[in-house]
Amino acid sequence: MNVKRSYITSLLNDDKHEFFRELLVILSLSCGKGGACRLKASLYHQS
Amino acid sequence: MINLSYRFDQNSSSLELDGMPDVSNGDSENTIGILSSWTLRIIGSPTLEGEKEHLENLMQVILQYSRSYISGIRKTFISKKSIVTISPFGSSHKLLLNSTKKDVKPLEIILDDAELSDLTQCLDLLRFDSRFNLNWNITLDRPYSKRYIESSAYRSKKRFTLFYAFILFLSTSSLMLLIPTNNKFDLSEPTKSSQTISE
Repeated sequence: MNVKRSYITSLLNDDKHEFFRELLVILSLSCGKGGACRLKASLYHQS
Repeated sequence: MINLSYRFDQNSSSLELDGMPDVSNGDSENTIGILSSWTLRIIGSPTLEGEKEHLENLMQVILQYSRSYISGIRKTFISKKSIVTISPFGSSHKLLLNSTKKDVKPLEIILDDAELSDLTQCLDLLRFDSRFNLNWNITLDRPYSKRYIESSAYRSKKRFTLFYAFILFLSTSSLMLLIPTNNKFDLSEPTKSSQTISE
């Protein structure tokens, strides 16, 4: 995810694109080994 | 005595740890088994440093917060002894750090989404680095129950539902007051002309 791209920057700064902004944040928090564990845990529901 | 220092850089965050191998535990020359100090630098914020316990609390809180963010839950997380607190702050995140030393005021750091992501990445790199043989007392990422997710999401919406209902009630009531009503009842007897027609 290249945050230097103007399109990505506009999504992060523009308040109208809240859905895309949240999606970007979730994607950034899901990167790497730790992020994969977090994402995996979020996809399951505890029974 | 071997002194080791490793650094994790992630854009706006830089985490540096100093320590030495725990020879009694069989650590290699490149492994930190005893952590002596750590330093965390976040752009635009004062430098943070402390002992292992403080770093552990910071990791616990930040990683839990990030985990709940992915599930769409934004709530406050407080570490043991309230050393570290993270809470939503509008579209940003407020990190409150209480020093264990006396006469030191709490430090407040406002992180935006990118800085939170960078800090989380730094802590993840530390957590999964094989050069560190340290026991982190951190709860593993666990799935949330549906009830917990719904209640956490429901609480944030419930706050405004009552307010909207009250506004709707007031506006509807005021509109109803504008409707004209005929309060005069005619109690007079029927006229004679109507009687002649019936005959």
